[in-house]
Amino acid sequence: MPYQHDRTSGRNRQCPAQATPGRYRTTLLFTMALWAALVQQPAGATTFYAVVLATPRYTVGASTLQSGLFVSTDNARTWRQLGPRNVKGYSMDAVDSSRGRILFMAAGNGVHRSTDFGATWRVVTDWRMTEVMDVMVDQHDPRWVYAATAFGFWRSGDGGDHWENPSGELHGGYTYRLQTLAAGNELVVAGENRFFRSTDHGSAWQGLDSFTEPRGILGIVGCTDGHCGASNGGCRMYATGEGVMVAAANPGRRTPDRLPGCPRMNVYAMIPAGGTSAYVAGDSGIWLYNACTSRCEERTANIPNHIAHALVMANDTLVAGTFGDGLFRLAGNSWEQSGLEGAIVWTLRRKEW
Amino acid sequence: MVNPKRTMFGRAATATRYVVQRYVRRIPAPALLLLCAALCSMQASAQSQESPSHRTAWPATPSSELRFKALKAVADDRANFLPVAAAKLRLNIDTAFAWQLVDTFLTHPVGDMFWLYPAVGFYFHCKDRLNSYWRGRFRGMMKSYSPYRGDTENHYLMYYSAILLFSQEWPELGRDEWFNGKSSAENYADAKEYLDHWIDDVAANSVTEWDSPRYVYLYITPLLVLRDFTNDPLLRRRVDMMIEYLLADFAAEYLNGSYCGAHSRHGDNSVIDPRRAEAGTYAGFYFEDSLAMPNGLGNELTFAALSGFQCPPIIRAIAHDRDTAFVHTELKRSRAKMRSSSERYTLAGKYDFMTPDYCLGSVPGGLLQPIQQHSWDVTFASPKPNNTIFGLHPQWSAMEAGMFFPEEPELIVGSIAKTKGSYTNENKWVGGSPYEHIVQYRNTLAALYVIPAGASTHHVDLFLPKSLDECDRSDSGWIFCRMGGAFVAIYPLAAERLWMEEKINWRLRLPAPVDSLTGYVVECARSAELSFAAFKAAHREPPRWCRTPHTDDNVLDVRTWRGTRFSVEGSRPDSFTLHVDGGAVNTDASHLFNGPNMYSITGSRVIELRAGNRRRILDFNRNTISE
Repeated sequence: MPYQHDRTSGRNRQCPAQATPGRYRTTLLFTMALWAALVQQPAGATTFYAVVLATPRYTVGASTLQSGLFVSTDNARTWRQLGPRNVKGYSMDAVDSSRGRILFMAAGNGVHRSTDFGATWRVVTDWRMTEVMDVMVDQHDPRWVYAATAFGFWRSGDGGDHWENPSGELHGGYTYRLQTLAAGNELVVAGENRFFRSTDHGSAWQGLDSFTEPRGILGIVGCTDGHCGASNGGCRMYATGEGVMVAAANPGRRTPDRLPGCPRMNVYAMIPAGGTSAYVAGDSGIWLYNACTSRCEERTANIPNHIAHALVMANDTLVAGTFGDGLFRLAGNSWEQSGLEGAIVWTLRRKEW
Repeated sequence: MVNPKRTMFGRAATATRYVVQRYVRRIPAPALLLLCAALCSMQASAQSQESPSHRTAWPATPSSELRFKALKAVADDRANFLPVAAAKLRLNIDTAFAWQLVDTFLTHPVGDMFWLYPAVGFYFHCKDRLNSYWRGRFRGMMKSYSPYRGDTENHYLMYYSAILLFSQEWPELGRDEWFNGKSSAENYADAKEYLDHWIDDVAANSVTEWDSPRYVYLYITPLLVLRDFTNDPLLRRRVDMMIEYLLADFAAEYLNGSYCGAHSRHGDNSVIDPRRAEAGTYAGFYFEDSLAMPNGLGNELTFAALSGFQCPPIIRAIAHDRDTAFVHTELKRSRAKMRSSSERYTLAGKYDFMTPDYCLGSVPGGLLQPIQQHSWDVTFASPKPNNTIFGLHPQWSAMEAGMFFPEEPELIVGSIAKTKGSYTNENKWVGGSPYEHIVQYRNTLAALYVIPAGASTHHVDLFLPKSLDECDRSDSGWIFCRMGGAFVAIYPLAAERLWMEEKINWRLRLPAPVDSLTGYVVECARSAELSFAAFKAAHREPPRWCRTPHTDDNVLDVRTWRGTRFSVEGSRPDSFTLHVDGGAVNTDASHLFNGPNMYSITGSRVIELRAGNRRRILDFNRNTISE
């Protein structure tokens, strides 16, 4: 389906007589109020967000229209765009307690924030922050917002109004993804070759040696819910290097070269699929992996693009974001398009409020 | 040395008077005043040329005649660019079409920061022609269109210079009137802070997209608009100084229409034909006082033609002072590195040996910029096309992509190849290599490559144009080339040589076995120094070199035609060092510029322009220009 977007003023064809500031502002305020009413979800609703890096037409300086943040409230079937229409969007998060009113988007040109369900947006960072790869709200204390950027870890202690780049190991270094552990009390950042953990909002960092991977990018790609015979619950975390998987609970262990039973591939996303299983997406398609049996079953089937970068479950249906062909949902044993045709979908998020 | 013809100024004045008379009734009063004032200044300059020429006698550029010619040339274009509309409106030519262009530009905005900088240039230069309707449309765009900031230095400059000027123009706009949710005051502060930071950083440490024949116009153009319309007199002065800095940096490596030596970013076409580079437009405009719009490029000249900026004579002298050979060095920085590097910026000592007939220039190799790096070349002064010889290891890798772009490295390579098609082409002519090590001393250069298994290609290519006057392959293994008064001898350090004929050139391909030394030695000379036959005779012996650098401490040994011993020592590629007559030659990191035309101590923020005994000091600490 064609994209929708929230900018009714995107094509201003008003004649000169109509283009008075007063009327313009009135129309805009009305549109914003209407939009806020439309997108506000009732309690208990499931909302999906897709963050689009670009479309295949993208070249530097050319139009990146129809990239950025999209929202769906019908189980990831149809999508509406929120916010700026041509940014390199990487990730998003929301203040869950606000039920979708306060949203953050991580983008190439900074952190964008909306406080009205996505009706209006503001870049809350300045020229210093660029290539923001991930943003995460501390849901226990939403004053804290974290950003992983290509040039270091940043944080805000006032809900995104002001940002700082704490000194220490992650000052200026490449950071890629953010994750919380131990019921949200530990913040983990994936750097270029290593994970770092902090329990004080990023003031001090401790390197996780079990996650040292010299062969390139080390991203947290996801979790399985359970452990094989382990007594401790919680998330078993996986990360990826160049064709390498690293798995760890606490303490971690390295899984050489690939997920056992799976083909060698670069893994970009991983979501729990019940028990010790997880869906895995990468540059060799989509697979169902069981960490206990080491079985890896291919789920790529008829999906036209074998590079998948994002996964989400929508009512027991697996939805995959591809690198240039938009979204697909697994219906039975075959995939069908699920919107955002042609998009490079970087991140998919599911939120319950 | 290229001297202006004494009679040229007389002809120019006559032509200008003719054009002005013909179009005078169509020209708005402000533009007419500008032309008249400039004409007077041009005539004064012409009179000064009556005296015998010397290196500081160059008049400031551009002349009034050139300004008008440039504006007219752009105005006569039908291309769908906003500077074309600006030129048409300023000269009252084809105005209906111009307004159509403006309407399209505002109705279908594309290009992000590439949209912003012509938008702001047009708006301010044509403000007197914009009624409240058009001004309102421009203002509305700042809310309805979300131009992306981009990710390179030139992107930021285009973006923030435009944001500063538009927020200055509409200071009362609140957060809900801007696409980024910041008020005019917040946008102005953000832009001003970035621009101040950038100027200070560049003055101390150089640009990161240095010496780019492809992109330098995207620095100069937004800076011209910024200096013309900022209300902040201090910022205007600093921007003026930056324009002079960039032009002088260009002029110091300019030779008869070409931007010489290594470049951070080159184009696929201009790398094999230097005069076709975008930079040629501004070189013509400021260094030659002539109109050069290679391949129809250069509609941005509109803003230069309308600008109050004058290129000071000393920069023209720097561009043309080629009486004697000299060494010019610069310290440059890489683009900011995200991964696969222990440092954010890698410093690169740039080296040029400039002569009246050629320039041999290089950086030490390695990856300094993604995709479009050009690490060394010989540029000939000859007016022939394809006046260059250079070589490279045409490689690509996820490591390189990941070093400069934030996404997953394996994915970026494919994305780059979609937009910059040559990136993954083994026959490309642009790009750096992490396996390239270049050393140079005056007229002699050696490029050495130790390419490991796993690299995308295992060959090194040399570009030899068919436009060479002579190209001989001798039995000794040396290859001798001549273009005009410049001679080049090349000795390939390779067991195998593959000659491949292409449309405008010969490609000399040197297969590079894994972990073995491959490369070439390049030596240059001028006809004023010796004959071509004598040059050949001086190269009867091949250099001594070893194929396995890991086991030998003396990698290369060359006896130059002057009798100098040029040797490269080291057991590993990253420890290769150049020795000349036994003495080590190290990169000069203490000087941002060091040569007869420019001088600056790294970090000092004081740039000295030199021409003969004349000095012009750009002091970015005191924000003063003194001469």
